[in-house]
Amino acid sequence: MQITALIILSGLTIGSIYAMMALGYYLVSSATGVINFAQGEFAMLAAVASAVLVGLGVWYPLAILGGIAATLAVSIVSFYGLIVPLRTRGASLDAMIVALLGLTIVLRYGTGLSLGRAERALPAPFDGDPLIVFEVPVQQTQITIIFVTLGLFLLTSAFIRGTWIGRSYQVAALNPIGAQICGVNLALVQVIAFGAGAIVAGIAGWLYAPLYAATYLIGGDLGLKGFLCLVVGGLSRPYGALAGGITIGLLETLSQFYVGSPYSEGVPLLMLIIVLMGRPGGLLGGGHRTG
Amino acid sequence: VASWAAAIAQDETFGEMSDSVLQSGPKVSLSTTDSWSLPIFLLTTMSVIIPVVALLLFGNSYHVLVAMNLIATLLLTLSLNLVVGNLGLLSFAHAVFFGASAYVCAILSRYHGINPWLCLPAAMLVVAIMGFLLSAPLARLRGIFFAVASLAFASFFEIFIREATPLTQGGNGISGIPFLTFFGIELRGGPMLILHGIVLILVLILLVNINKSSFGRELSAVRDNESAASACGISVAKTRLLTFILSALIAAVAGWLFTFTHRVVVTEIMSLERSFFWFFTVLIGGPGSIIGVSLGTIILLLVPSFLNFATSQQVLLSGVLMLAVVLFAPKGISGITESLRNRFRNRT
Repeated sequence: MQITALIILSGLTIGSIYAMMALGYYLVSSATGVINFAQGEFAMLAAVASAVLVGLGVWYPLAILGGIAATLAVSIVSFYGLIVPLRTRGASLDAMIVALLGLTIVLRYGTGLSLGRAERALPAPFDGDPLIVFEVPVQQTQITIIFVTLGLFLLTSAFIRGTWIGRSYQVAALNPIGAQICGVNLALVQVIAFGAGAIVAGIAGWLYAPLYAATYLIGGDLGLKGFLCLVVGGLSRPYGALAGGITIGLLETLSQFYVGSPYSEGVPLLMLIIVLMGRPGGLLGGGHRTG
Repeated sequence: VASWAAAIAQDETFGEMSDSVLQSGPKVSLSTTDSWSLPIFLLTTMSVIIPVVALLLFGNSYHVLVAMNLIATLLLTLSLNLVVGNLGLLSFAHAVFFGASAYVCAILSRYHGINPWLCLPAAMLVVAIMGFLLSAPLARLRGIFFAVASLAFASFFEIFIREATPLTQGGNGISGIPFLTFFGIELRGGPMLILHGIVLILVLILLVNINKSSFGRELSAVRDNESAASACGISVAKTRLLTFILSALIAAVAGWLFTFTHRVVVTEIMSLERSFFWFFTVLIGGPGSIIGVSLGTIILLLVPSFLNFATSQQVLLSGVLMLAVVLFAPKGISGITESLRNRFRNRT
């Protein structure tokens, strides 16, 4: 009983991280129609940059803010340097995908070469003694991750429904030309979307790194899992990402415990292939087909 | 607004019959394109034979090794080009075919005493089955979904190879693989390079002439416009499947050559880094163009080898070049050579 609770708890924790990654994808793709493959690398960049700053002795909150700010800067530079020129040229979707894959690799190995390939430790924000809830020890990190994730989802949902920019966001996704005719500044909305996606990915990277380590290689896995959650949850609404994240997180942890073998690493990958084959629009989403 | 309109207009190519479809109705053979063109044949064979002979005469063993590495990579990028350029599939699965072939060859020759020459058909059989199994379900996916699914498949296969220790020795890899022998002579160094050259020539002849067969014309029809192609009676699914398997088989040949050249097989040979590198090389060279992809491979492989780059630096270089190509030269190297050729023609 206690063990089951622990497994479910750690599944929820890792699932929350994946959900945040999926939320990042969702934020970018809903306004720009682009599935930003580099989201995983944005998470990695925030984690590694924060770890470097912490290593230099910068005050923890400042180091985290610095890491996320660096990620935001990189994302905006890549938006104006890559997405905007391709859009202006009217490049094909494949060209966009290839460009984002290129960005992924440049960010991954560029970070590896410039900031070093060593594994760095990034401390968790709250790392005290575990709280005992019904005889189950709950790590403070786990609580932090789950609550930050819930907060981010509530914030996103409030942002999209309640603010002018959020509503422009939805319109921009539905019909870019119509949105522009109605006075939506498409360029502004898209850059905000791209930046917001990078910030969310950065937060996910910051919270993920303490569970393992901050290295230049953590982005690939995060990016793939986030994409998986997005596909499972559907591209059409933000809470799909949350559902997808939790599902994948629980499945992964449960399979690690009950399958027990190192092959369990491959379970989410197999799921991704199966889900993609069966429902290209995601399990919860309708027939919304992008990409 | 204009850019969006252009993007939408680009999507709506439906109903536009491209030239190749019009020229290549099913089973209508056009004698001009069917004829065996001697100049192209000589050009392809000579462009392989001359460097190989020059290396045998003047090169040292390091040069020979680099050349063999180059040829194996060329086979891979050319096979990937078949899928990326003709089917428009952004595939990361070729590392799997290459790796599976290498492991089949290694296991059969090292532990079961099977003649290295017989490993080739065995590896090709295994890879063809894998290609069939993979392409059937994945045929439904396009664009980014195919890319991600093939990426996931490649990662899964790498995990499998790493963990199936009794079969593959896991992270230690398989060493002590025997040499290929030819009438009692062990093929190493120079003779192995000659074998690489022969294989490359055969593959190039196949690829250059595939566009001249009815299958090749069906393939380009499917590439340019699936709806129009199927309206002409071409089985789109069958054409795509055959292309995918053909491409996988070429990758298997590359894996066979690689195994008996290096005689060590480790999981790193199918790492994600290499997949990305091959993939970018094809796109930098210009998908669909044999010359462009070959030039791209030669540049991207030789420059880092002479600068003593580590693999990650090589991959980073390919990524940076990829971004440059996407931004400034969408057709890749083949586009650049084409525009140079046009400029030259206009001048004369």
